[in-house]
Amino acid sequence: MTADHAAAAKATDAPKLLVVDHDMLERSAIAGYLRECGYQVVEAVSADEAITLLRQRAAEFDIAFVAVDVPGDMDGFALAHWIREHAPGVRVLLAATVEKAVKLASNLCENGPHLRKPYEPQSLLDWIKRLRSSPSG
Amino acid sequence: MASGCESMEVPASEVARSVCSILIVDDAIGTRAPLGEMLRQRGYRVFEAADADQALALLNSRQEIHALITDVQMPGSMDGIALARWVRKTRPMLRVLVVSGLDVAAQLAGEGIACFRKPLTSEALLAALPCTTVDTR
Repeated sequence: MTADHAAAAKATDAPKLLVVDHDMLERSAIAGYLRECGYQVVEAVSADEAITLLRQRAAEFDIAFVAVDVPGDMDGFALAHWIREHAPGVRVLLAATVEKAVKLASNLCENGPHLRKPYEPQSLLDWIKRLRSSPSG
Repeated sequence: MASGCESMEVPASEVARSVCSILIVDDAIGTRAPLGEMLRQRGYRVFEAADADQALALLNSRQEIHALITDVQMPGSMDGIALARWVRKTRPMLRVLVVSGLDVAAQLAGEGIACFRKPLTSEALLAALPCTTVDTR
């Protein structure tokens, strides 16, 4: 996969985001929304995963989009501190709630590669709530 | 390379080609993230889970998934073999691919699960997916 990965990394100049969130449904919905806005998005489920990626590929990333309540030895605040110290070129956005995460994602979209939102942030919030509450069986 | 337990029970023509959704389950971000990026570059919609519990959260939501690609050795309530079997039992139309450094072909023989040994090529993996997309590279 190495050659493919290198080719993929060069395939676009769109800003690259690292979304760090342990919540599967929230993370995938936010990351998907940001991709629809034109960003490249890489997902990490913990601070440990984020640090592993940033140690190898920090120069690729423009923004780290971090949920405050990531599990493990390091929460979102501690990860933000680590990033500012070890990857100062990466801007950190911290989200304490899903509502805050949606608002931050919406703001990123308005200023992102496509300069528009794919849909209203309330629709994204509603979709995350539906994912959580409506099992398909 | 696909092993003897590969199944071709889901014709590609039966899966919508417009949005082909793949769920990758792997606790190693160094494997999961590049694989996700490679598949997204090829037009797939990719969801990433770090363990079976996260995968189940997505599979039990309203999110449509066409194929599962899972590692075998993972922390959490079940490993990749158990997850693959659960998905085959409860989601029979969903293509299941197990990717492992171990030879699990004999263990999964006759269960309708495609088995791959690491390292594997992108071409071998893509050929086993149940749907194709427009290459966006």
